Amino acid sequence: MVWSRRSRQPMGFVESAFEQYHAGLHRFLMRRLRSPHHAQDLAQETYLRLLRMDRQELVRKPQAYLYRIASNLVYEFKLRERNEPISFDSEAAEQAVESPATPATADASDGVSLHQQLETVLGQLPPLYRAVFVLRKRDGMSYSEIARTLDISVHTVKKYLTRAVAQCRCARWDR
Amino acid sequence: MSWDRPEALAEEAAHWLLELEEPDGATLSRFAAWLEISPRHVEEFLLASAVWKEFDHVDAARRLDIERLVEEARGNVRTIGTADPAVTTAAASPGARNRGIRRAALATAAATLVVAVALWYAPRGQPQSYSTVRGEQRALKLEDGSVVYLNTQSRVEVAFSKDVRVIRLLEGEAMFNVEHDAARPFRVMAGPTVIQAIGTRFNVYRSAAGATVSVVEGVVQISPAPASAAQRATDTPTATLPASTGAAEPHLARVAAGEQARILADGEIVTHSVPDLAQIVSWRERRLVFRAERLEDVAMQFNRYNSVQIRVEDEALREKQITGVFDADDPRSFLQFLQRDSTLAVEDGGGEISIRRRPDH
Repeated sequence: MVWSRRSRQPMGFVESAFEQYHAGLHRFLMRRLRSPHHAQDLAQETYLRLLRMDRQELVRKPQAYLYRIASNLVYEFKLRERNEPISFDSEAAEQAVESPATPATADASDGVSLHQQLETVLGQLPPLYRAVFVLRKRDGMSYSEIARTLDISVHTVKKYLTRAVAQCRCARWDR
Repeated sequence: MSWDRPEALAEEAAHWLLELEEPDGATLSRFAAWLEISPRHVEEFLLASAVWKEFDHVDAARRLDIERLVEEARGNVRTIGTADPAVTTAAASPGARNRGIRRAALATAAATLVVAVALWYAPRGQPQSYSTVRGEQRALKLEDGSVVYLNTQSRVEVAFSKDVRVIRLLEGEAMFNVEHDAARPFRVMAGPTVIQAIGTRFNVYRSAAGATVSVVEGVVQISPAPASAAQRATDTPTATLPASTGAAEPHLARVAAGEQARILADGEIVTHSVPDLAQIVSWRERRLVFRAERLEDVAMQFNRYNSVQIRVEDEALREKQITGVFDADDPRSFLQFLQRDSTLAVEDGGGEISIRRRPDH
């Protein structure tokens, strides 16, 4: 499954990494934002599998391998949970694990969607943080293009993005 | 292991995610090394990825107006006000265009950015000295654009001339982000040792046992200082590389990214590779990362940052191996970590903490 690409980003390293990053994993993680401790099993097992990998291979594409391993694990967890005999119609299984069309939106049962809550957190960040964020995510600008546009340093651009992501990650989520 | 500030790890994870969006040569191996630190690192990176991914369609309706956000930021300058007193005072940046936006950016970031001090007021030829007290860290931006990060209890002297850029590390630890300038070599002198760099990033730590040079990016060349320069610390350095002074065979080493060289008291250089580059740079986030290190060395590292001093009382205990990541400013969380080991007794006497083996063990 390939997710939509930003308009101006060239197809490259990041994109290929995200191709491995399946929607099932994404939805799993988004739910875990609300109850952080539940991601620990996944992280623990992912970590162990990363360590078992060939080092050279891992260094070549760490992000892609990380997503792939974690994705596979989410899939395994699902299979185990359902306590079904594993039948190797892998395509059907993937369909069951991943939601086909809308990777970004939360489960309908969540009431106020997690996505809306994230947007709210973003809206509470200082205006320049938001400007940097939107120029990157909406307009697909490179860090140096953003730096030029706002007349700040590339370092500052990255710093704002870093803090924006971290604050969204650490926000308190109410159901 | 203890992480007292989960936000710090979340921020680190976000940092890596954004570095990977536009990776440079060393990013991948450094990131892989960072992931290998712990499952918590893996978890935080996955969660940061999820947040980032979730915003793929942010403001698809294009309702947000960048100009207005910038204006809003400008309006905030007055209300946000004072900077963090811990942040070094900023000198005016030369050629700062569009002051409004820039000032707004600075004000917004005041609490999080270490603002580098511009040092170009220093008259040429006069070495300038900069230091930190226990627990303090500071960033110095040099006239050539290179940046020196000073760790706790450290002192450097900057002596730039038109031919050579010399920094003397008189005490403690510093990390150097060197701007490339083929015409003006960049040298760090640590006692009897010269470390020469060309457009690179490396860390130098001086301790009683000698000096340790760790290279994050690029390559550095280590050689003995010329006798005169080593003896007279305030000498104006010459532009020539130290030639062998005739006596014994001089110790030389080339140290590349991912390697660490220990320069022993007798000048001998021992080079080995560093399993985890993140460990070298972690002090800048005031984090101490230990991988199977001696308890005595771990205690010594905490003591560099804190007035509370940790003492390891039993001889045998000093060799106990410690693995973990700790907040440099919080020795007590480290002690809590130790107390989980029932064979250890930790005695907190306020200004001094002693660790010993329980008598019944």
